[in-house]
Order: sequence, then structure tokens, then C-alpha cells
Amino acid sequence: MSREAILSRLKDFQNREASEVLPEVVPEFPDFDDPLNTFKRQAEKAGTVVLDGQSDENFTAAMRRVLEDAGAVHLLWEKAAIFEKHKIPFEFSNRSQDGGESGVLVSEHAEQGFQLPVQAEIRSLDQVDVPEVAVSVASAETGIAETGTIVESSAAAGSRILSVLPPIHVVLLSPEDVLMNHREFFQSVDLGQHESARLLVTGPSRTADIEKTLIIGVHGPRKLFTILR
Amino acid sequence: MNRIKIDVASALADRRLQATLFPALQRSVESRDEAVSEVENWEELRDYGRRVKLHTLEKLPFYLEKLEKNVVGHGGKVLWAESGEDAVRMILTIARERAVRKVVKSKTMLGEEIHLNQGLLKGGLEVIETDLGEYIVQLCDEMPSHIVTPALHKSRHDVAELFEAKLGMEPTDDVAKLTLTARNVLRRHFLEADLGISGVNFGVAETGTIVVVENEGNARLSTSLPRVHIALMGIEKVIPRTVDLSVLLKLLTRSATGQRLTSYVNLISGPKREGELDGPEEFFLILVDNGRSQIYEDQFLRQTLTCIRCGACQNICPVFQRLGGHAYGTVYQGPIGSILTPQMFPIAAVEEHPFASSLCGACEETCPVKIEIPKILLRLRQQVQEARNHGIQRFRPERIGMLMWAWVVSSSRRYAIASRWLRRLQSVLFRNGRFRPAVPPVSAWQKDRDVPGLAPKRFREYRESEGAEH
Ligand code: SF4
Repeated sequence: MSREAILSRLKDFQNREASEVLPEVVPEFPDFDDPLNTFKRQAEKAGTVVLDGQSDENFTAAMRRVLEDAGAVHLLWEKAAIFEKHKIPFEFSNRSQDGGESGVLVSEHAEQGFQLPVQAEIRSLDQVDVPEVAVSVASAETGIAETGTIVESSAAAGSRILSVLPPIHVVLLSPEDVLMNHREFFQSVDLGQHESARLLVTGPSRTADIEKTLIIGVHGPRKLFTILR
Repeated sequence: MNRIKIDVASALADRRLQATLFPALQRSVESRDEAVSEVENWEELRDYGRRVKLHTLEKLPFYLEKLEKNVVGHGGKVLWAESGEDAVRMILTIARERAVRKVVKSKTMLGEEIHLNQGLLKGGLEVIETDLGEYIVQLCDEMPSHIVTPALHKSRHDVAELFEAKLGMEPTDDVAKLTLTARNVLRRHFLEADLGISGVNFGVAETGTIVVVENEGNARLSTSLPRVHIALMGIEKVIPRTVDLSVLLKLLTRSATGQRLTSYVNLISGPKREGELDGPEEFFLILVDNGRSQIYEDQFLRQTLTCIRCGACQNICPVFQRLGGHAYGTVYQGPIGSILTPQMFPIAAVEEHPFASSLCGACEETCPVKIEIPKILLRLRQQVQEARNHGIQRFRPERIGMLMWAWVVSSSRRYAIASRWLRRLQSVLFRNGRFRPAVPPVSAWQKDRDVPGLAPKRFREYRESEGAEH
């Protein structure tokens, strides 16, 4: 009822010969010679810690750095599929007593002194009480160099809240998934085809609501890591 | 009809406000300028943004129906609300049918506009604002004083006192500690809530996606943790295509906070899908008119509806910088408020608002979608004047004074004679450089204005004698 009322009122007021056509050409967006490098620089400007993990050795070192930094004891992997996509050199063995999905990570690189096992869980939904010493690990669908942004899709990740709830968030990003700019991203993305939500993440959670003073880590993570893998 | 007056005097007299407000706005202006200066084709982006929004308005019914169809295609439900009361009623019905007890809200100016919190409270629901600024404002039972930074008028001391009184927090001046306390309190509410309500920055017609821009992560949580999500959207927020977001987001975030992009941009297309671990089971989009289709009627004034609520015009406005938001007494304040409010309310109720501007033009210059705010203000002033002229007010002394003034200044000879006489009378009429006699009707006019004395010489005389060599 109100639907019809609103629409018919608008149609009454609409001018017949529309004069403003929808612009066809989107203005230029910046291009970069080395998008990966620009991504790193911009992400760091926004407060993200970018680590290289392209070799197994570097990846292990990066994970160690994250865990030490966080003093974390829980690693929350969004989906086991991440292990395949990013060829994680750890083994996820489902050794939990209660038959749940939580398990233990074992490093293939014990000789590098990586202090595993760490308790790792694939979160189940009734466990929304995420501990304050947890790290969630997700996989980025895309990176956008222009602003140092990573894009997480609920279809690939499975979860919408894991990227925000824990105090530390780690995103694995394949260097070949880095796009130049936002025009490229929005021209290629197919919103809503497979996912209920996509999230563009540029730096950790922040606020400047009190006296315009910048504070990092409000409702979301106080620390955001991106590991290139 | 009660008039909503602009409370200049108490805003200027409020020392704490004056000390907090100006530096904060100054910081916003600086970061906006910096972020904009690194974009080479900023003007081109503004033009594109303006054209996309104007085009959408011209075909508004078409795009709204398209948006609706695509949201429904994702399993969402779309409701249309004529008025604020209608929207509140719809939300209450949804809540009742699903036995909702607690509601978490992320920032929505439309929610403020329709007094959603009061409505939900009356309906027996517990409502928690989760944006830090909004939470502060809610705790002290006030209205936001800025469309982007709601608690702008509060100093850290104010917030500390508030948290001490309401949350039993130890006294502190540390903004980080204050923020952490709010995080912990709100975390519990997030986990307990059954309904999340958010605003909408853009609704993409071609994909049925709503866009929510934020920095704290509270919008992500409000729209993902509770089992029901309701998005409140003004009908003017629809845009045609996904690709338009590239430009509009760039315009919005750089203008609003000087960020290249905010920490989070949520692109939500319906409720949780098969195979997803979390997200709401139900998603509602409520399209709210509440006077917007009336603004739509006039093809010049219609551009008011292209506003993307970045707040840049508030930050830069010399009037807003002195008064802050509360002085305006309305939900939308500053330049955007002065053009929006008189078009949403009967103009007689807010007739002061189009006049709360020096017409300096800074707002139009900064506006990312180039809304011609000063021109709109002039049109609205004219409307106010026309409404007044219907009554006896035509013979107001101010009008006679203005006519005399116009007669004098429209001839250089008359102007020269008048200023010569005024200069002679100066010693009698002025004291300490200010116009002295306080006789009605001039005294009423003088109440809010300083009338400085005249310079000893006319500019022309000055130029002809000593200024000549420059
Ligand atoms: S009128 Fe322009 S500058 Fe002001 S809030 Fe709206 S978009 Fe921003």
C-alpha cells in the first residue's frame, strides 16, 4: 500500500524527458608499476602489519611473530579450505577429545623451532565467546593496491564475524590476487552472487569519536596482519 | 506551531563546548584537505558523483523497484514506509513476531530522524547504540551533534564523568581506557541481542546489495551476530551500479574523515546463505520516505537528496564551527541541516534555519557531490519571506529600513552624502567604536549584531590621497 503510494507520488513528480544520463565512463583511478609494493605501503599506512610468507620458512616465521605478538593461545581458522588454498605447511590434525572440530596444528618445520602445537579450532557457532587471546585466520579474496585494502567474502570464509570478533586478525593474501585500484575491483566483482556479505578491510578497527583522538581496536581487532602467501 | 529556534547565545557562552568544538572540526578539515589533495582528478570524481546521483533521482522509481527485486532475489524482504511512525511500527511488529528482547543498533541518521530509539523503548524493547559516539550520546540522553561524529560536543572529561556515573568506571582521562570500557560493555550486548538495526550508505540497484561504511566494526557485528537484521534506508540512497561505488566511496570517505577508505565497508546481499557459518537468518530492508518525495517535487531543490551525509559541510561551516550541532535544535545541522530541515518540516516551524548562514559558499566548495547549498538557502529564504508576506508582517519596520537602505546605496551620490553625515554624527551616535542608542526598533536588530564605527575617511578619499602610490 505505502509502496504504491510512494512510487506513484514519485512518478507524478518525475520529469518526463530525463536530461541527466548515467555516465558511461568511470573516471581514471591511479595505476601503479608495482601494485604489490603499493599494496604493502598503503596497508601499512592504514595500520596493517604486512608480512611476507611466500616461502615456507618465512611463513612459519610470520606465524610465530603473530603468535608472540598476540600472546595468543587460540588460533581460529575460518575454514579448513584455507590450508589447501595457501598450501599451509602445517598439518591440522583433528585430535580433540569431544569429537568437535577443534584440533591441533603440527608444524612440518619442527627444526625451525616453531612453538607448536597451538590449540587451533575451526569455530562452531555456539562458541561466540571468543577468548581475548585468540587469533582468527582468514583468506582474502582480493587485495586492492590503491588503498591497501583486503576483501573477505562470506562464501569463501564461511564466517562473517570471525574477521571482527577476536582481538587479532590474520588474513592470508596471494600476491597474484592483488588488484590495482577500486575501479578494477568494482568492475570485476559480482556482488551477492555467491555470498551474503563481502567486507572491505583497511586496517584495524578504529574510532575517533572522543575529541577526534584516534584509538585503535574498538569493537573489532586491535591488530591486523596480512601475510602474503 | 512551536518554532525550532537556533540557540546562538548559549552555544557561544558554553566554554567547554567552545574549547572542544573548534579544534576538533579544524582537525577534520585538515585531514579532509590532505586526503583530497592527493587525488589528481578530484573535480572529475565530484562531477561523476553528482551526475550519477542526479540521474538516479530522475529515475528514482525505476531504481527503487530494481533494488527491491534484487534484494528479494537474495531472500531478503523489502518494506516501504511512508513516515517515520510507519517504519517504527514495522520494526516493532517484526520484533514482536520473533520475540525479540534486545536490539543492537549501528549508526543510522535516519534512525535519529524518525526517533527510532524512543519508539522501540516505548514498545518494550531494550535498545543499545553500538557506535562509540552514539553510545555516549545515548547514555546521556542527548541528540547527536554531528552527522559523522555524534559526540563531537563532548570532551574526554565529559565522557569520563558519564562513564563514572553510568558504568561505575574509575575516573580517568585516558581516551584509550574509556574506549576499552565501552568495548567490554557493548561486547556483552552484541552477544545477547536478537535483532540488529543498521543504516545504509548506498543501496546498489543492479545487485540488491546494501553498503554500510564504518570504522569500528560495530556495524559488521550488528548486522551479523543477531538472528534478524533490519536495514533502514532513505529512498534517496539507491544507486544504479556496483561500479559507481568506486567513485562514491572515494568521495565519501575522503570527505568525511580524510581516510583513503574507512576500516570497514560492508557489502551485504541478503541473509545468511547455505553453507555459511553465521549471519542473520532474516534480512529486512525498510525503504523510508518520510517527506523525501515532497522534496523530490521541486526539480531545483531536489538536489538536496543527492547528499551522501559526509559531514564535510558541517566541518567547514564558520557558523557550525562556533555553534556546534545542538544549537540548531534539529537532527540535521549545519549547512546540510539548514537546507534539509526546512524542506522536511513545515517551513514556518524552522524559518530561522535558512538564515543561519553567511552564504560564504565554503559548503558548496567542499561538498563532494556539489550540492548548490547557498543557492538553495536563498530559495528557502525567499519561501520564508513569502510565507511572512501573507500576514501583516509586510509593514515591518525592518522592511522600511531595508527599502531606505536600498534607496541610499543605489546611487553613489546619495551614498556619499549619507556617509558624510553619519561620519559627522559619529561622535554622538557611537561610543567605544560601537553604535550606542538602543531605541526600538533598532535595539532589537542590534541585540545579535555589533555595529562598528565608520572609518575616519571614505575609501575613495583614502585612495585618492595616500593610497595612490600603491
Ligand atoms: S551536503 Fe554535501 S558536504 Fe554536506 S553532508 Fe551532504 S554530501 Fe557532505
